[in-house]
Amino acid sequence: MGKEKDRGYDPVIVGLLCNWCTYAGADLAGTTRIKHPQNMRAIRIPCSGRVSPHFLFTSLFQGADGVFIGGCHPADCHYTSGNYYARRRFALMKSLLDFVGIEPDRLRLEWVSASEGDRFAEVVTEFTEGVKALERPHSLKRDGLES
Amino acid sequence: MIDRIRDTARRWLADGIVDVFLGFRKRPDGTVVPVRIRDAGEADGLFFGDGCVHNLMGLVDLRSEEKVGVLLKGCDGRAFVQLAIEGEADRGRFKVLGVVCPGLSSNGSLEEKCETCRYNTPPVYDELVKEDGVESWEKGPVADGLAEVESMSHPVRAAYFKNEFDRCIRCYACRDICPLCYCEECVTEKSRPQWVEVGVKTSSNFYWHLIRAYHLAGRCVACGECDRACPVDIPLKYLNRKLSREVEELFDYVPGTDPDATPVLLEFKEDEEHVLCPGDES
Amino acid sequence: MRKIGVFVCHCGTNIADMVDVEKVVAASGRIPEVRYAVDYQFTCSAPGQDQIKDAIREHNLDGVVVAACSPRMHETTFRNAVGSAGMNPYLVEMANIREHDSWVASDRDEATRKAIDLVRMKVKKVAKLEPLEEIVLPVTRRALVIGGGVAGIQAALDIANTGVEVVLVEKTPSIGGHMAQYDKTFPTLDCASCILTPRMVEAAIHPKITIHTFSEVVESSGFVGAYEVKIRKKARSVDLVKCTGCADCLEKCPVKVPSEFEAGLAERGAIYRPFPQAVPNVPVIDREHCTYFLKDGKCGICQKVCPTDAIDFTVEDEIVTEKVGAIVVATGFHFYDAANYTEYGYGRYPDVISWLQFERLTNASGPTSGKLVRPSNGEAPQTIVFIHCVGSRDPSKGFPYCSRVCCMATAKHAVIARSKLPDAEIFSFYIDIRAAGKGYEEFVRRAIEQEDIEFIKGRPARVIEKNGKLVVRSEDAFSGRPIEVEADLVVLTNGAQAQDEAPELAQTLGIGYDQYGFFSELHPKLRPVETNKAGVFLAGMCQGPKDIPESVSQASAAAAKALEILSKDELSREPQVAEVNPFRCTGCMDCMEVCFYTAIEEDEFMRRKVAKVNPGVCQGCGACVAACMDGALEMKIFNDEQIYAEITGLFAIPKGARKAGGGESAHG
Ligand SMILES: Cc1cc2nc3c(=O)[nH]c(=O)nc-3n(C[C@H](O)[C@H](O)[C@H](O)COP(=O)(O)OP(=O)(O)OC[C@H]3O[C@@H](n4cnc5c(N)ncnc54)[C@H](O)[C@@H]3O)c2cc1C
Ligand code: SF4
Ligand code: SF4
Ligand code: FES
Repeated sequence: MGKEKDRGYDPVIVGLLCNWCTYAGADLAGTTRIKHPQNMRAIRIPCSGRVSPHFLFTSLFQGADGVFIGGCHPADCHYTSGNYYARRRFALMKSLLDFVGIEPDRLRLEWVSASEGDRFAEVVTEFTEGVKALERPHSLKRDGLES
Repeated sequence: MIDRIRDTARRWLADGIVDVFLGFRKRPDGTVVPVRIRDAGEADGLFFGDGCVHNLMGLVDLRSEEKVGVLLKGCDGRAFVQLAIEGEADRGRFKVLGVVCPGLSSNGSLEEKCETCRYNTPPVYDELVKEDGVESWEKGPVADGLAEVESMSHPVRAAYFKNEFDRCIRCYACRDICPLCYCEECVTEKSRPQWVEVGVKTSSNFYWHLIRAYHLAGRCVACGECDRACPVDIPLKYLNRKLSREVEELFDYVPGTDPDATPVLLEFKEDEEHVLCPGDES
Repeated sequence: MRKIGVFVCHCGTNIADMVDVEKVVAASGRIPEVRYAVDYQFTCSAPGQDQIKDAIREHNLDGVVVAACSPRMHETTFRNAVGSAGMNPYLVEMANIREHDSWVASDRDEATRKAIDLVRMKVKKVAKLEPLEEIVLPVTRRALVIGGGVAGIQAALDIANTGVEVVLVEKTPSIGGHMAQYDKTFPTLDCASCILTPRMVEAAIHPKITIHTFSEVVESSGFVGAYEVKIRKKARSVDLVKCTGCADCLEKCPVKVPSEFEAGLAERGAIYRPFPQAVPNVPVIDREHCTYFLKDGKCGICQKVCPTDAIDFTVEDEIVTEKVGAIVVATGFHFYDAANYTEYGYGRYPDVISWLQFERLTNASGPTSGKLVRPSNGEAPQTIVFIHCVGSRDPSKGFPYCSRVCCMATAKHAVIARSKLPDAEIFSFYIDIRAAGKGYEEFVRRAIEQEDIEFIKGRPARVIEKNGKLVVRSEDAFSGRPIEVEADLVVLTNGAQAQDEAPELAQTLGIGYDQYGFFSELHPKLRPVETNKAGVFLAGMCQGPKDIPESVSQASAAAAKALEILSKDELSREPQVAEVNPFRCTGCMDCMEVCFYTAIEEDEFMRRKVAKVNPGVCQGCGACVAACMDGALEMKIFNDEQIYAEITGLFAIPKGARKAGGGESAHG
């Protein structure tokens, strides 16, 4: 593990990005070559309204240090209202996780449109910095809990 | 009051208004248990008073088509309303005998769930009984006892809950007694994918309790049954209360109080971006 | 165990410069499910695709991961490629190691590690993919057009001219819409009825068009390709076949009510036809005002004078059911109520009129045969004032939006007024002039420079009657000074607003509408005539203010979109849809509540109520899947198991991989 160890706490972030806006915004960040931290691994989902609490819980327990959800701006959801439902659900998931020991900085729901490549890079940078600033993994990782 | 309860149950059963009546009975040893009676003659054995902590909505078979008479306190009544909102309890199938609950005690002190109770009367009923001097009331938010946990740092909270959840033996008593857990097959039994890992392990226990709490978000009516059922005294109420508070503060929703409400996660407002950063609503 | 192939693209140097492609290939090879892993310069090129096809055959692959650019770029390419090699096209996924990695990373090791992770996640997902078939839906090759204004007529003709049957439903007794009320149209000043009437007639006699006038859509069910629509045909009381249009009945009717068509400037009977060129040219009886209906069978004069015995008081509303594959909605607009601006005195002063009344007052077939006069005394006005933006661009009183046609229509009106009254003084009060359109700016310039119309920038504060004159008080925004004009006639351009019953129709059809009641297009730029409901399209003013050329273009666009569906016997679409597992479903119908597309309906399974997704309607958003607490809903291509595999795949580092020093990450 030698090489990896040197990286110390190098957080890994699961990204759940809606196909129509944030995933496309991430593509645009690439097309316009806006460099940003590479801790996030993006998973394409149809809409932020597809996000179930399991996605967050599983990511965190399995080893993610943070979870980032990206959807279309309010009123812009490709399916009209998916992001509004996502917003309510996420608010509750986050407060529940906060309550049992997950720092709020590890969870974020952001609206990034397909044209906001620069903003995508910005919010991901900011989020990643926030997760890094916690300086250690959270306490609910499976390995951590069992030890 | 007890006479009116017995009379009503007797009448409903005798007149065929209901096929079965759910209430309480006091056993010779003084313990109180729920009963299902089908015969008007059995109504004399009904009881109400300290010890009637059970939420009888948790014992109703939601899938049956029988006509059910049921004795409901304030908290139980909220469960009924919430189930009706969710389309699980058909109002027409139920005859509700509401009780204006005086608050229940054990060993001389008020039950914990009664201390934090906010509605002592069911929101809907067909008939209502009350003891002289006991009035219906509603209260705003009450102290929920969460401050202690919330004052801990995140790692300490995690350790606190790890310590609690470690005891879980995954007996699912909390789920089975919950009046609002009615899935055909629980998510814990789902294998593709196996979201909740099997086996008693801290991580899977943790997962189980989180998903249980989330599934009750905006639905829990604070009847306290899960807490009472847990054989290893995990403070399940904390998780429920945390989400209840959140749901009320963010969405102005108190489960089971308004029969015309839409469940909180099946609804939205276009302009409620502030729910993402509670606290700075400016 | 699945046999998955991994194909890593260099994308020239686009990927290879930042990602160690060889390492990615080696790490891929260590994932248990991977049977074959290889790299290539340009995987999307023909030889790159051949590499995949050959590998599928040679290694008997049952899943493919292409690590290259964004799936938004090339997913279809690779689906087709694997399909042509005999593999199910839905067994391929792309790991985005270009846009999401090589193009945004600054460190080669880091980028390589990320690429390895992304590939592994996709391999795990592909291992859970199942072969899928496209969804095939039969198509009823007929169209419904709702609204018989210029937009609806255009759409109906465009569709019918390809040989597809059209059912056209119009609420009023005649087709034609607002344009039929105008005298001339801007910017060319060609006569409105000269261009519209022939089209109305063409629609009426078209063998492929069935017109239901005096009718409304009351119910709609089904989905793209197979809608079933119920239409209420209101009782006309005059037989469409027997009536010859002689109009003998019209004069004899004793009832007099204000004519809608004449904007209240003339009267009509209880039996009436809106205008002489009405299509169909058959009167209707307005039962709300007819003496026969109000006084229990007394009167009946029309019936007595009708030479063909066409009048029947006993007919009732009739519901007809039409099956269609696509629907064009073209229900137009109505006018903002100018009386809301009490300071202008509309409704109080007879010589303050709406612009529709102005149209009628200048129309050769109007109540004054085109003579422009003051309604109060029938004399020609010496001074005319037009006031723009009444109800538009005024969030405090009216609507914040611009009604878009008013500037041009007012310029048109001013020019018409000038041609009728060469010596009159004509003023036009405006906020600013919006004349963006072919020939529009030129037209306004002409009004100002050649027709001697005085345009004054300012929103008048009030109109007061004084000594038989209308005093218009305003500020001249350029000089900053107050200005007062003594006018004989004031014309308010009370803007356009959505039809009152638009929300109701939207709900019947299941389409969206905005806060004003205009129907919502699916995408403001790229899908301007489609709606959230597949197979329902928009044309004309019902979607937002626009002029005739725009309404007509949009109508042709909607027709083309409808024909895209109606030109085939079957529709096929991606199988990314939700599906209910009836064993788990408790029938709570939470899913139905959140589905924007009304794709979920109640069904019965083992004598229980359960939910069912209609794959023809489902758009594959997944909102219902996340709403279902019972875990009873799944979503093809993005199902829970697949997403679970993708998430956990990130942490599923193969045993021994780290020892191999292959660049796999340490997390997990
Ligand atoms: C005063 C004025 C002057 C104008 N002058 C010009 C001009 O000179 N040049 C120009 O280019 N544009 C002009 N316009 C704009 C023009 O009127 C519109 O662009 C055009 O009428 C839009 O056509 P439409 O078919 O969308 O709507 P409409 O003309 O409103 O037609 C809609 C039709 O649908 C019917 N309908 C409504 N609801 C239902 C229902 N529920 N079921 C069935 N049928 C229904 C209505 O009865 C009507 O027949 C002017 C607008 C105004 C207000
Ligand atoms: S939400 Fe789930 S359980 Fe409820 S009706 Fe829909 S599929 Fe069935
Ligand atoms: S996936 Fe979306 S469109 Fe399809 S049934 Fe579910 S909520 Fe409706
Ligand atoms: S499609 Fe992007 S949030 Fe719904």
